[in-house]
Amino acid sequence: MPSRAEVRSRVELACRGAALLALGALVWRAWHPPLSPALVLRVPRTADLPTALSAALFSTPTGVEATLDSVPGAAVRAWLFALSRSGSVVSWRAAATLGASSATVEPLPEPSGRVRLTIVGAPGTSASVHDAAGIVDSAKLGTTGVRVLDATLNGTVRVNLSGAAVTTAPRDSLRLRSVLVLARAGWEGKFAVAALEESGWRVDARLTVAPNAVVEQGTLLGLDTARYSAAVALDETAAALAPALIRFARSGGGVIIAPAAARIPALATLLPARLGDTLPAVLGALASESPRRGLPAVALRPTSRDAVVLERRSGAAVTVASRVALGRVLLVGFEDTWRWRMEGSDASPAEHRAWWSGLVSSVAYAPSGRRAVVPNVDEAPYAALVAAVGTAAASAFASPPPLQREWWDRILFALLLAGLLAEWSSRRLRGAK
Amino acid sequence: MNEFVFATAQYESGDWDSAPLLPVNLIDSIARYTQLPVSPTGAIVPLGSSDAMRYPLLYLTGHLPVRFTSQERATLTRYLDRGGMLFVDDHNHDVDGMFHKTVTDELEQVAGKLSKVPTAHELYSAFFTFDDGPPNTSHELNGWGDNLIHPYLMAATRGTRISVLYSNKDYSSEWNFHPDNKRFYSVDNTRFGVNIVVYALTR
Amino acid sequence: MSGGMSGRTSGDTSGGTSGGTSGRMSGDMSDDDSLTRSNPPATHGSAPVRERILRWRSALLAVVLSRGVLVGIGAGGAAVGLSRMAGVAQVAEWSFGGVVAASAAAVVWRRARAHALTVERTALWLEERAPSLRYALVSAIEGRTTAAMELAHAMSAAMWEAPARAALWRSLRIPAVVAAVGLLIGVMLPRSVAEAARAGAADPTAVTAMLSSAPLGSLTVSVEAPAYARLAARSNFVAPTLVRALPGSRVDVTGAVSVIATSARLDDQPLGLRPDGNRWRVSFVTGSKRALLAVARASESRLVALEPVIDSAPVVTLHAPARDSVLRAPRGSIALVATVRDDLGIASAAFEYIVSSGEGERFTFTRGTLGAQRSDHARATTLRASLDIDGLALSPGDVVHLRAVARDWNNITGPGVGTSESRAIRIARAGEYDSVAVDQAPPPEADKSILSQRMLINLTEALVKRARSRSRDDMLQESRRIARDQTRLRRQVSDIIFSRLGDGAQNSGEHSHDDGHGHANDDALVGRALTPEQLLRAAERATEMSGNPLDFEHDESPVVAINRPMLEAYNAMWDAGRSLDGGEPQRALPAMYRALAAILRSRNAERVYLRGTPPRIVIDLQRVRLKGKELGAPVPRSPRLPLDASRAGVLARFGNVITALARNPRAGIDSLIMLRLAVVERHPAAASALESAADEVRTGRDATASLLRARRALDGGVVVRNSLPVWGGVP
Repeated sequence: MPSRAEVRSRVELACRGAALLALGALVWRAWHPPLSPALVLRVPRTADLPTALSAALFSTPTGVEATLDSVPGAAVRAWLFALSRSGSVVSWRAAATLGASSATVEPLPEPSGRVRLTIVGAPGTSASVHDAAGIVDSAKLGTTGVRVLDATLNGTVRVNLSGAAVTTAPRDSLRLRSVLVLARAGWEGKFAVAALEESGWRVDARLTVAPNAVVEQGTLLGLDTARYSAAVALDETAAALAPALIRFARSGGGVIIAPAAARIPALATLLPARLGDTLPAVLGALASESPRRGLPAVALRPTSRDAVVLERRSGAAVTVASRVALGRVLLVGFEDTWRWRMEGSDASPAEHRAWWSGLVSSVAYAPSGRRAVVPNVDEAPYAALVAAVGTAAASAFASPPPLQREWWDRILFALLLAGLLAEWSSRRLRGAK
Repeated sequence: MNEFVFATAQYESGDWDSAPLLPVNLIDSIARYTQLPVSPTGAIVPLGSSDAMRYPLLYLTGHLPVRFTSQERATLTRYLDRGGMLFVDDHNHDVDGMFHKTVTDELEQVAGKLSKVPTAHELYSAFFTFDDGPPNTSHELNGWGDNLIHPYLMAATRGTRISVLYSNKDYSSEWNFHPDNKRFYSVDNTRFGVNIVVYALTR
Repeated sequence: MSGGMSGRTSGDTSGGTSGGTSGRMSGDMSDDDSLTRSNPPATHGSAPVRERILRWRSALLAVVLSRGVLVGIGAGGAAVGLSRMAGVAQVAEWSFGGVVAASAAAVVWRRARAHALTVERTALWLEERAPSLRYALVSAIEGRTTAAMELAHAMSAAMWEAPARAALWRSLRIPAVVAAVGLLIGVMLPRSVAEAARAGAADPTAVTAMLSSAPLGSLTVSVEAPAYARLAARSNFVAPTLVRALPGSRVDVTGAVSVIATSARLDDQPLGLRPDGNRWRVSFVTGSKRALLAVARASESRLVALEPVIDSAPVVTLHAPARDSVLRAPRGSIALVATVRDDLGIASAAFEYIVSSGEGERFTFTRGTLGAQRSDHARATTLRASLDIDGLALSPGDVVHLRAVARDWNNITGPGVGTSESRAIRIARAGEYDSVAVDQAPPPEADKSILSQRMLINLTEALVKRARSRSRDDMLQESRRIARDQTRLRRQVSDIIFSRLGDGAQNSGEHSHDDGHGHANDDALVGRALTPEQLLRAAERATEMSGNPLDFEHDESPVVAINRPMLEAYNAMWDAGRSLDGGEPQRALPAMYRALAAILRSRNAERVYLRGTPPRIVIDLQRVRLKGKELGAPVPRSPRLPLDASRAGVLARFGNVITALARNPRAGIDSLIMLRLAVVERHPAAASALESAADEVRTGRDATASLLRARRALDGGVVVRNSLPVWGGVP
């Protein structure tokens, strides 16, 4: 009959044997990986993708099934793209919150250096805009799903839309030329030139005082797009340059024509609309929220389908624009706009400036040039995701199979540990070393 | 119609209409030398009224002390800030007189310090050329007033633009006659007035 | 000692002695009594043993206490010294030292287990120091009668008190050393490293380097307004900060560290710092412009932005008279009432008046003050006076301009002068109220609707000068032209001084009769026709000029001369006209001079003027258009400057501020303050938002909203649309 000590000793031996066996099995399994394990990465959230993909670094999964609650970043998308190209089947499903989103920045043709940021996303999505100078805007997208900001932005712009982080930056810069103003000396010419100059435009002017007396600013060597971005004709004094204005517009320049100049017969071919009836000024409106109602105006009748009516008053068009060959023409029906600046509200000088600058900006010829350094941006992450790995899967994924390999590995490791611990404990308890 | 209207500022404290023929005289001159649309008659506008904003050039003169009311001061401040121009002439041509002392004090409160207009300023060549600066008047040495030739005009500016042009040279007397009588002049003495108007309309 | 005692006590006496002692103690009390009665107690000398051991027990307790105190002193002293060196405030330093001392003493007391020091333990302690006693003391305490003699013998034989005493003193050595060292540390260690360096540092360079690397510490700013403002000093600013102060305020900035290696600049000007104990101080007086004080030490700097507060001028309101007025007669008095308010204190106030007399180009002015009063910094006062019209000796047509003026005490940038609205008191001219054409306009000069006599003189003189270079026909033509104008002027003068009587009075353009002519109407002649002879005689009477011809030109009615100077002018003009008509301008000049002198005399004598509204003249533009002889040659126009030329630069600076805030909030606050100073004039809304942001960052609050507000204000307004613009985004 073996003694208690002997039994104990044998038990210890057994434990050690079991541990050694477990170790051997683990080594053998590590040395001989399964030939083709069906490894499918199932990722429940976008945030888990980097971790899951990192785990698959040393063994390419056969498939990746991801449920995305937000659009993954460019690096993760590139990873998925690489996996898909290397044979893995990458499929994804959109969570309820995922939606298309994009943001672009383009420079505005105006001296202030402002840019236009266009954000597109799902209606009702919260969007916050940041740039190098901090937060710029924070609001919810309206029913159109579009938000357009004209602002001065520094560096790369980051737009956080629910479920997406979009980055964009201007890639182009615009080259603005001067603006030529043709008018007789008078309040309208004076204050139109003042508004443009105060807004930062370089202005050349021809202000006619007498038949041989013209107050000039700048040297008019030729009205062409190499020198001018736009020309403004305020009255009949532009008649002498009517042919040049037409050539200028057709070659890409922008021309703004006021009602008095629109009566020049030679300019008729350039006009996007005909002059109609006079619209009297609304008394007291200059200081209101719609100050241009307080200006006398001429109703305009668009003459072509391409003409775009930009502003109406009492149903009649008062500002009409159209493209003419390579250029743009804008016919303004307002007269004596200088009254807006002088007689309007406290904000009217700034509004008058902004209006005139905006008119010129909307027609200005401004060739663009690529910036030397183009930052790395991610302007349409959802579209990039689709481009990388295809559209979202319509149906839900199947339930995942058990991870058999991992389960055995864990059992063997637990057995190894238990065996070693049991032997050691027993030896210690009986006083042996 | 975008025509120029010569406006005289009516202020409360003094004889604002001491030169009633000056406006029509200058209107006549503008028509003679330019093709600018101009109203055949002038306008009189209270300085404290928002109607002043409709006339971006205002003429102000008188003999008596000038004390702007708070309304006039506020209107004038707004007027100048938005780009209006005020031409003031001392009808006394007296730098020691009450008009000069009081109106310069009021103008400096509203428009800022009055500084000399240099002879080379574009005002003196805005239409006609005056190489020696402001033309003298026949009244400066008539024994009244300070009996001095005033060699320069004064101005307050907004940026590089004259917002207030101030004269001690008594153009109000010099130009205060019926325009028909210009024919007797070998040299029209109202030409400088044309410069002032053209400057206001183009700068 | 404490260890030994506790060890031995616990090891040896815990089980036996204490229990046995206590048991024996209680039982033995009665036994002791009997023993005492039957056996005298063992004694050594004269005192019983127990009493001596009790005394030793007291001594031991005292020693334990002393050890605790000494160790506490040592620990507390070291703690105080170390905390002082660390720059802790004095109160905190002593508190910390006290706590450490108490704790150390408590530990010592506790370890000694002095609370468990019984008689038996004391005896055992003594036995340890005097082994020759062979437990005699313990036995003696236990009161074994049989051993009394042997115990007494043993106790008397052994010299046990001396060693015990020595042991007691020895046990105090180490605590004493601890106390001494602690005290030394507490006394000798300086407040700061700088003091140690001053106390005897050998290498100044090393000291400077050491000081330079020390931080700036906190800066405190106090502001004392100029004396005239009589405002209390303020000292609750901690840099970086924005301080608003009146020009002329004294600003003191103090720092908590040594002055060495600390520098201060006010804009571009370096300021001298002076040591103030173990702190530094810099003082200066603020100006009327914004300024930036920068205190620097090594790479650390702190900013204090100074913004001037404008001392407002007094606000003066004229209550009486309430409006302009016209007095029929220069009599009476007018009550004057005005109220004055000032933010810091009124110095003086008074009513000012200017009396304007005259007309045309002849005006005289007199000035004066009324009701002047001085004030000793009152913030509000009422001014009263009375304007005595009689005392001003006014005449019809005079105008009195009134206003109230006040000054404040500002002797730095002022004094500030406040004025009220003006009132004009005009004395009506004679007959003014009889006129239908009531017109506020003052009378114009001699009628300028035609050339004045002076102008005619100028033309004639110019013609005379050109006589040699012109032909006779030209001379005649020009001379007659002047003659026609002279005639027209003469008729104008005649309108003034003559009344047209009789039938068919001619109302030509040159004969406009308005009310107010200086006609001394002869009632006898008015309303009925006169024979020519009667008119002539009346004219002679009026003018006292017998024999002089009067004018009966063409179909004019007979006239009556009523004004001699004007008649003289009239006649002189007549003479001049004749000479000019004859082509003799040289001969006409003396008469023209006479006419001018007469007109001037007449104007001075009678204030003759034409009243009514000026003639309305409408220019015939078509007739005169481009008829000017001269051509204009305008110079080129120079362009205006853009209004927002600096906006891009300011936005770039704002971006740098955001970056600085992210890296180092303290540096970011400085940048915010500097940016605020730079933009406060052109972008006040942005400046306000930047100031709020700086406060929020300083107090650890979220500054996002303020920074966004500042951003928007600097950007000049972000244009937001919820749809793509149709055409380039026309506003």
